[in-house]
Amino acid sequence: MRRYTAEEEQRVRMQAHVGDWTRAGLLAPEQGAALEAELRTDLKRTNDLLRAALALFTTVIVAASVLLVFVSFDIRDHLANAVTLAVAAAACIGFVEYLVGTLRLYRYGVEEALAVASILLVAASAAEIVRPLASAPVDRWWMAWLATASAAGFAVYRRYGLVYALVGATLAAALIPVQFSLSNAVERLLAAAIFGAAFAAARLACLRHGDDYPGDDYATLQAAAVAGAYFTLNVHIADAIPWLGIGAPSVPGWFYWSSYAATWLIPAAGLMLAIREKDRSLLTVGIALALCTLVTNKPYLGWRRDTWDPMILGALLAGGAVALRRWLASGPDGQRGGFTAARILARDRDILSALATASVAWHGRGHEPPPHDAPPSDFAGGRSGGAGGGAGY
Amino acid sequence: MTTAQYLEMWRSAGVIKDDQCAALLALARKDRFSVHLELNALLYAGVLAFAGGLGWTVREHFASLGDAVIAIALFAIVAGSLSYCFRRAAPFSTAQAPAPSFAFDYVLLLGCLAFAVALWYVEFRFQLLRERWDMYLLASAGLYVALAYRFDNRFVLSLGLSTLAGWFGVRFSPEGFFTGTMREVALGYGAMVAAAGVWMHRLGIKPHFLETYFHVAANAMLFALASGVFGGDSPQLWLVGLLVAAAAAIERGIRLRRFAFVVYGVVYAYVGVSREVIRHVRADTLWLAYFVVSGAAVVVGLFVVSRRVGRAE
Repeated sequence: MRRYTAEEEQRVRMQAHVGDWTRAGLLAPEQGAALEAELRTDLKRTNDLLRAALALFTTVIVAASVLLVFVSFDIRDHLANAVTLAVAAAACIGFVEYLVGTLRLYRYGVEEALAVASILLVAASAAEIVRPLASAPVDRWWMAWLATASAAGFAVYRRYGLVYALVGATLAAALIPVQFSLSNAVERLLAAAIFGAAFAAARLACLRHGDDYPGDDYATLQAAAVAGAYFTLNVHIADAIPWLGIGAPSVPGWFYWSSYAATWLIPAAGLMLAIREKDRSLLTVGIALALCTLVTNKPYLGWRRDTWDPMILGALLAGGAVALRRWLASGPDGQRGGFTAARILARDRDILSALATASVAWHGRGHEPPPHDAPPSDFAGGRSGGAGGGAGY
Repeated sequence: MTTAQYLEMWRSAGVIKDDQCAALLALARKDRFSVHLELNALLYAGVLAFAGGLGWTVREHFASLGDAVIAIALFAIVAGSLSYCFRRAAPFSTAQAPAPSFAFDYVLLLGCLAFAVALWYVEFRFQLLRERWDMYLLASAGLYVALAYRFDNRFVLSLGLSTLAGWFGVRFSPEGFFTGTMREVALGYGAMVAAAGVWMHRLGIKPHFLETYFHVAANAMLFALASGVFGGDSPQLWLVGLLVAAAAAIERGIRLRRFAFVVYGVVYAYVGVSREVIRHVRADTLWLAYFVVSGAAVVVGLFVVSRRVGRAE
């Protein structure tokens, strides 16, 4: 069923480990070269940035090709739509099979974009089939789309090992209850239950496989499921992104306060698990969710936000990070319980450098001129109107 | 085979030594697990949140807090941060220098961000420079860049470059680029940043900063040129300029194996060329066909580049 064998997948991961260890000085360059040669497969891979660009342009080709067929043949009928979309999906999968089977591409961008396109297209095809059968077309269209996308995403993961297809499949499955026109609370509960089921399944698989392939894929799904359940249950999550302008939905009191408890319990449980098992994906998600809980706590309690809230949060984060670092560093051999604050891999430094360079984008905000209608200053001797005459101190 | 089994196999075969195997097994089995990145991310997020809240509080509550309280608080943060950095830093070195402590880089960043709030407040309340308020931006950009070099801090360098962009008038907003004269300013800014980076690199002062300069310069210039194709008076001229700049970015990116620049060049050039093509092609089928054919050409080109220089195996 799988296009890449477990041995190939594990070798690819080992190559990444060897590269990291060599750059960190844990292996001599000649040792690294020898081990990488030993681990070599016939799979063709590329740099992550080129991979992203290849995925982008492949998406452009697929979108334009499908639209071109629709426009050229003036396809409007739902059945013709469905057939065209299904043929396009089949063509995409055909290309993926060729690229993976014959050219042996692995995470090259092109075959990934085609595989994802096939999921979207086959889901749209299924949705077009059910469109005339439904009394409420929009809901049914989306329901069919989500159900098919979920199944197709899972199939793509099984075939090509694209872990984000698995995460997408889970997300699509969790969104299906939202189409049932139930009460907001019930929809959220059903969606959270689906994420919970995905978490349980991923957790069992993680425990069975450990950290090596495919355990790392299931660890990613596990972390994504925790995040999905959290975002589904937190009714004030939109308040964390004020520019969206989305208010909290109307939900019954029992659900509101249960979800409030969940916003504390989920990150806490996630962090506990992550720390116990040293699971990096879950740790990252747990930290992010804990931050979301701090940000949405006041809206949940109906308290007014104060301008100094970010300062308190910032002091908490920075102070906590410094204290934790000191505590870890003061342990025997600079570590406690196996955790260390020291950098081991060069990759961490590269990520921080990239973050620092990218910070130009958000540091650039706030260069607006100050308004020139400020009230008189305490220091200005009661001047007003901005002329400044008579001011002195 | 698991990672541990591979390591045992290599140890048995004598490819790695016993102590190396033990160290690597500790990593593979997570007996040693680094949270360096997570702690840095928390610290950075904390500094940004604190500085954001500081600015917000000053804006909203200056009347109730009073000038004296605000001025003292802001300048205490700035002075405290800078004093900490000057006391803890090693003597200046032109080479890359590690931060003397975990929080060092972020303390400096906090000081710089608080300084920006202080300058804004001074102008807001006392209106010393009025229409020439942008001189604050130039002065603070100079200060940030100087501090970035003194303390080898890329976050502060980025802050300095973005503040300099503010002085140049470059705002990365679509309105400014597509309707105004911002693109010429952005071109000048990009050229100056690139030249400054090259100059410092040639002087051998913090040569590892060069890539940061080039990322900023490449994006500013390519974005400006691409926006000229969309809204400039003579789009063809802008397109020629864009293609020349994109070709240079791609060539340098390939030669130096800095693939971000290859991607910048390809994406910006594609957007510019596509805009010109769509401008002259009316039929839907033709421009869709254009995207199919041009997209395929780009994919083939990138594929060739990736096979020649961008292999990961």
